[in-house]
Amino acid sequence: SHTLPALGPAERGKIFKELRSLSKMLLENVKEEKGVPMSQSYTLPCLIPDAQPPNHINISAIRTYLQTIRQLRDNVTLGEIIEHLDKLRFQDASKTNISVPAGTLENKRFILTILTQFSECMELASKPSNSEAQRAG
Amino acid sequence: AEHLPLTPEALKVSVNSAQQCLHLQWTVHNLPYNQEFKMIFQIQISRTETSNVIWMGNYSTTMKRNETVHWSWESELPLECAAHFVRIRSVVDDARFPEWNFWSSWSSWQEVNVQDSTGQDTLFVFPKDKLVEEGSNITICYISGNIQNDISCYLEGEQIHGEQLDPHVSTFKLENVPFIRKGGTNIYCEEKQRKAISNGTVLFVSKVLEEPKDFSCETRDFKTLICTWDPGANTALDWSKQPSQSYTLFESYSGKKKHCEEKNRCNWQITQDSQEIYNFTLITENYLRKRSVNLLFNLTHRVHPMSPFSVQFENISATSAVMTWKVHSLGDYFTLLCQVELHGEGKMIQHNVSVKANGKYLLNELEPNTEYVAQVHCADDNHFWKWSEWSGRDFTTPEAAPS
Repeated sequence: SHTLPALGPAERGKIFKELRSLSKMLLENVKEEKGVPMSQSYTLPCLIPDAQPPNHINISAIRTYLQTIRQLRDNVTLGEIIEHLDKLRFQDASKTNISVPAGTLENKRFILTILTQFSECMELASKPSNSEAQRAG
Repeated sequence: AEHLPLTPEALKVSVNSAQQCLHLQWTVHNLPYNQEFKMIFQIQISRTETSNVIWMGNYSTTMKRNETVHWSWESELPLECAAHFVRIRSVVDDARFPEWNFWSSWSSWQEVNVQDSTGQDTLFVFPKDKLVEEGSNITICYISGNIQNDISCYLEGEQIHGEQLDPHVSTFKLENVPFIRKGGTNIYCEEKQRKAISNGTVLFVSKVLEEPKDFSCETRDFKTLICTWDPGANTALDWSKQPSQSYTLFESYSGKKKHCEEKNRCNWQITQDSQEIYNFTLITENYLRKRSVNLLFNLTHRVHPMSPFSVQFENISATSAVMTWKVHSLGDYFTLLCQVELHGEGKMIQHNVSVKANGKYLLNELEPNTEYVAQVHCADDNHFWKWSEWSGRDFTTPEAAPS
């Protein structure tokens, strides 16, 4: 069984907004490097299938992907992001295995592709869900 | 007498892909025993097919019967890009044995095929993550295996055009490659239709390791020598491709060596028994290059005293004051030249004083009721090297007594 974190919707929303801006900043930084194309071979599992908001974001898998990136290219912003993710994480979430591609260019493509999808994911996550929207309406 | 052929035998070819080197070794069985012969070996290297000889050269050496000869050749093209073929022949080039002065027959061709990609629906790009120095000329290739459609390649996002080596291999010559970033220069190829068929590499271009400039050493206390230098560019690269260059101090009289933790300075302990003359070599090294600079000096000519301290003023009167200061001891036989500067009334007056231990100086002809700043710095009186930093304070002369 999942033990829900002690955070309320408001706090979670604040964290997701922070993650959205941090992910944008990180992505801009990575995008500065020319000559690295995106890849169709890598997908960040943003949503937990069949899960309902507010627990539909696959925080554990996202954290694993970002930790993998951190091992390839450590970075302060990435560290901050992982700290925020840790606040949101369910304790006993499922384990995600990631195989890191070989070769530096492929590593760079992996990083660019995953961080692009992460930024889109945080954009999605920071949008108020229907129930929250109704309550706020 | 009929001479046996001296064809080189047991030719073995090994490959170092990262260095793009072929390592050859061979021997000659039919040489007479117990004799050393001056020989010339002619080596031919072909690419793609034996008829396409791309390199030929001679290698002279002396050898005995059954001795193994070693020789290496660096390819400008990554060895994965094409099959290579090697053969050798020999001639005795020894005035003592004119009868042997004729070319042997060629050895049989030895094939070297590092990357067999025939029949694979995959794109390969070589070299993989190569480390080179800024300004180098590099050849890149892609191997398209079974892929029929056009392949496009991009350098830092800009399309580049190559030459066809064979139906499945294209090469791209990059000349005078510049340093772009620590993360390397990105090269990427893809099949135009099926973009998923793609591959690439990163060319790690290192800045050229510079010779350290302004290499200098001095002591402030006869206990430690402080050596400093301008390191020039940091040649570190990301992705653990190349750490910052290392610096090592080697002193030839003592034979001692020290790895320097910092990139622009290094402390060297002066021991009681150490000599007066030092002959330092500062060696800097990265994965691609090694450089060094030398410095020969007499320790006693490189004394940079520490700044004086405890500056005091005694017997301050309307027109004079006695300035005293302390100095860090540099030994009984050491004389310091100290320079006193007096600032006041918009003027500066300078005085020189030779000092063995602590310093003392009479400041006279002062104006009453005036604020002054007095400061002192010192240097080695016997062999001037550098002034110490200044030490000083302000003081004010009292009103003159009514006459």
